[in-house]
Amino acid sequence: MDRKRIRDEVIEILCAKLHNLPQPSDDDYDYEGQVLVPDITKDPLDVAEVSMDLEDAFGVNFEEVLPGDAGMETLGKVVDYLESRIIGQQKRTAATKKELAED
Amino acid sequence: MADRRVVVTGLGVVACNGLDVASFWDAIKAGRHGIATLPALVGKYTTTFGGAVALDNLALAGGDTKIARRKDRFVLLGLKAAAEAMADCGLDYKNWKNPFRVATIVGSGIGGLATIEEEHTTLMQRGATRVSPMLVPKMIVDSSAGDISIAYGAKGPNYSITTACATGSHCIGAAFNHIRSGLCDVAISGGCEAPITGLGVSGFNSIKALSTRNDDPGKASRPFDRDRDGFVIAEGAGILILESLEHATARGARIHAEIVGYGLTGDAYHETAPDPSGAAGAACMQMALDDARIRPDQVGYVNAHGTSTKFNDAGETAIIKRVFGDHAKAATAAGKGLAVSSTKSMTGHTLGAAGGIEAIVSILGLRDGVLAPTINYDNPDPDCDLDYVPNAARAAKVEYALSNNLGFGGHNASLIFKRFAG
Repeated sequence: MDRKRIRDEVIEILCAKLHNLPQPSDDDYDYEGQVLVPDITKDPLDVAEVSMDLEDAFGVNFEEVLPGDAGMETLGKVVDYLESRIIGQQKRTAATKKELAED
Repeated sequence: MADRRVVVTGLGVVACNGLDVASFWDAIKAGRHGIATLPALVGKYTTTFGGAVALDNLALAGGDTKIARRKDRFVLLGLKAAAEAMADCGLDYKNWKNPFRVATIVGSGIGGLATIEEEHTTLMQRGATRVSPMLVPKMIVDSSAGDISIAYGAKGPNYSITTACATGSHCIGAAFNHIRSGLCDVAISGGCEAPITGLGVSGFNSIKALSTRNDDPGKASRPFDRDRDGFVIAEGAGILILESLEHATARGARIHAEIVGYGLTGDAYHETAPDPSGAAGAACMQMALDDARIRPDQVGYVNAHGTSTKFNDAGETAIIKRVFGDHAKAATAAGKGLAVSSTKSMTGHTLGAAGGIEAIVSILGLRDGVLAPTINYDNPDPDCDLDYVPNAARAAKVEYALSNNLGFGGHNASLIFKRFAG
C-alpha cells in the first residue's frame, strides 16, 4: 500500500464522521495540513471513533498515542504514522517468510 | 418558602399509535392502537409483535447521521418528544434568564439495550479492542437526561430515575417537587424507552410477562379483560415541561393542567410480583391524595397502570377500590363516580416511558373533557369490576385525574393532575 492510497483512505474515513472536512473530491483542499484537534473536532468521542475506524481499516493499533495527540497533530502526520506502521508490518512479514523459507 | 404551584405548559410524545401529541391524542380518543406483528421477531421469539414506533433511528434524528449513530434509540425517542414539548411550551431555550433553574429529570427503565447487544456481539466476535467507544455514552440510562439537557442548555438539576415501569412518573414527581420547593422554575421531565430488542423480548418472555396472542396482535393488550394474557412490549417517549405558576403566568404561557400531588412507595415484597396485600400500592395513591390535599371523591379519573397481566390488573383494581371506596363505583357523564382506564390497551407497555405518556393522556383528558378508553375490553373479569371506560372514549368534565405506575421491584408512583382553572 503506497502513501497516496493510505492518504486517500484516511481522508475518506475522516470525512465520513467529521463533517466539517470537505469531501475527498475537493482536490484543492490541504487535507494533510489540517490540525485534528481542535480544528477538525474538539470532541474526544469523535477522535475515539475515527481512531477505531482507522485501526479497523489499516489493521494497526494506535496504542498510547491517538490521532490528534502530540506527534500526530495533523492529518498528514496520521498518514505518516500509518505508513510507517504498515511498512514495518510488511518488513516483518517478509522477514518471517524468509526465515521460514530458510528453515 | 411556601410551596409553589406547578403547572404543565409543554407536552411531547412519540408512541406506536401517534408520532406527536395531536396524532396520538386523536388515536387515543378514537380507541386506535399501534400494535402489530414485527417481522424481526417472527420465527425467533415466543412473542412476535409489539408496539413499534414507525420511524427508524435516522428519521428520529431528523436526518442527522451523526446523532443517529451516536445515540441509542431510547434517547432518540426522548429527544424527539422533548423537542415537541419544548416547542409546545414556547420557552425561549436559547436565552434562559438563569439556566441553572431549569431542571432535566428524564429516565428510562432499561437504557440502551440495543447498543449493549450490538457491542456484546462485537466483543464476542472481534475482541475487547473493537468495542465501540460509544458503548458507554449510548447505553447509560442517564444519557436521556444528559442529552436532552445539552439540546436545550438546561443547567439545573439533572438526573435520571430508574424504577422500571414507574420511571416516567417518578421523574415527573421529582421535577414537581423541585419546582414547588423553589429549587428551580422549569423542568423537562418524563421517560423514554426502546426495549424491542432480542434481549428485551426474550427476557420478558422468559418471565411469562408478555402476551403471546401472535395471531391477533391488535387484540393482545386487553387490560382488565378476562382473557388478558400478558403485556405488549412497546417503545416510545413522553415528556412534559413543568413550570412554577408564577413563571408560566409571567410569560403568558398556555397552561394545559396543574400538577398537585405525588405519592411514592415500595412494596418490599418481590422482584417482579406485586404484593398481593396491595398495602404499598394503596398507600401510594393515598399519599398522592394527601399531598394534593383532596378527598378521594374529588378524583374523577384514574389512568391505571393497567398492564394487561393477570396479577397487575386484578391487584390494581383491588387497591383502587380500597382507596376510593364507594366512589370507585361506575362513573357518570356528569363526572360523578370514578372512571378508570388503561392507555396501554392502545400503546402497549412502554415501560419507563409509560409514566410520561400516560401523564399526557391524563392531562389532555382533563383539559378537553374526555375520558380515554380501555380498548379490547370484551369480557368482564369478576376480579376487575370497575368502570374501565370500555372500548370508546367518553365525554366527562373531571376536576382531578390520578395516574398510577407500578414497576418491577415494587416501585409505586401516583401523580395527581388538576384541570387548570386559574
